[in-house]
Amino acid sequence: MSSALWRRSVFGCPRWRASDGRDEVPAPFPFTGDMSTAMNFSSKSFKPRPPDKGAFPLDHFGECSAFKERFMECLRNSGYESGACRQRAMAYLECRMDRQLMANEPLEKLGFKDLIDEKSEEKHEKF
Amino acid sequence: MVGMSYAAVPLYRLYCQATGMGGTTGAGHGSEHIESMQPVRDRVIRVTFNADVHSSMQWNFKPQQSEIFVVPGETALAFYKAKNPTDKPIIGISTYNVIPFEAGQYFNKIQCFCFEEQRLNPQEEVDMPVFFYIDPEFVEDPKMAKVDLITLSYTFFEAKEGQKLPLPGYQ
Repeated sequence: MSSALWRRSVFGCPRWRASDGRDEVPAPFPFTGDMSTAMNFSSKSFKPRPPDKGAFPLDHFGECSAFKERFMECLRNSGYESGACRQRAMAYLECRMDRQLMANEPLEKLGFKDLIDEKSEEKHEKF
Repeated sequence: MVGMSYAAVPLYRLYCQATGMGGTTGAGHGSEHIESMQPVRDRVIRVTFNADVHSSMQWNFKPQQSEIFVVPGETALAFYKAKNPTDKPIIGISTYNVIPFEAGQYFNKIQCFCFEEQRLNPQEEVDMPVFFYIDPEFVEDPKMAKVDLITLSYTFFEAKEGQKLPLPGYQ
């Protein structure tokens, strides 16, 4: 288990091969193979897809709890608007990466390109 | 047999390594897509969170926010919290559901805590993040035109001996 965790934390879980959820093959009723749709009579059923980058290792020691608290505080103050708290979301993910609780990934590839560009613009202005 | 469920985890990982390494989902869900996607600011979606445990699973599991407002094309972070109130370690494994079903194809989780065994020691409590985005293609789907509420629902099961969950990608 621990070697897998090491591998996952260093390399990240490899990308899953997943269905794109668009297939419309009717599942034989009622054995749809996933847990949620036994009572669903429609032919489409929800197909869960694994996460792109696998699972987050658990933060057993609460190393990033402070960052999480700051993020949650921001959410509460902003009326739960995700866009208002992206800076703190980014800080939380950076905390995870610093502590091997997440595979290192450039923040641009996590959708924070605009925040990174802002930061580097500010730096240039100072000089 | 007892061995099967223990074998499932490393076998699953082997499968992961053999077929998943470097492979993308083929629908442009890779990092390039995330890096280049633009938020669609005029479609605000309310995402609500639901948390369930299977009846025999003793964790306390709940979302840390009941809802969050996102726009397609922008990554978002949300948290669940799980606690093992018993005096024995419990291993859980979760799956998720998205309602409406048809919105599920646009709901992309970059990283979360699902489909992998998670072990909580006695009295341990952890934060469980979900990092996701709604694909901007969502706004171009006429079937989604009236959808402004998406519910993300996680269910935890106890990973017991002899129990084998139908993990996606492992069929």
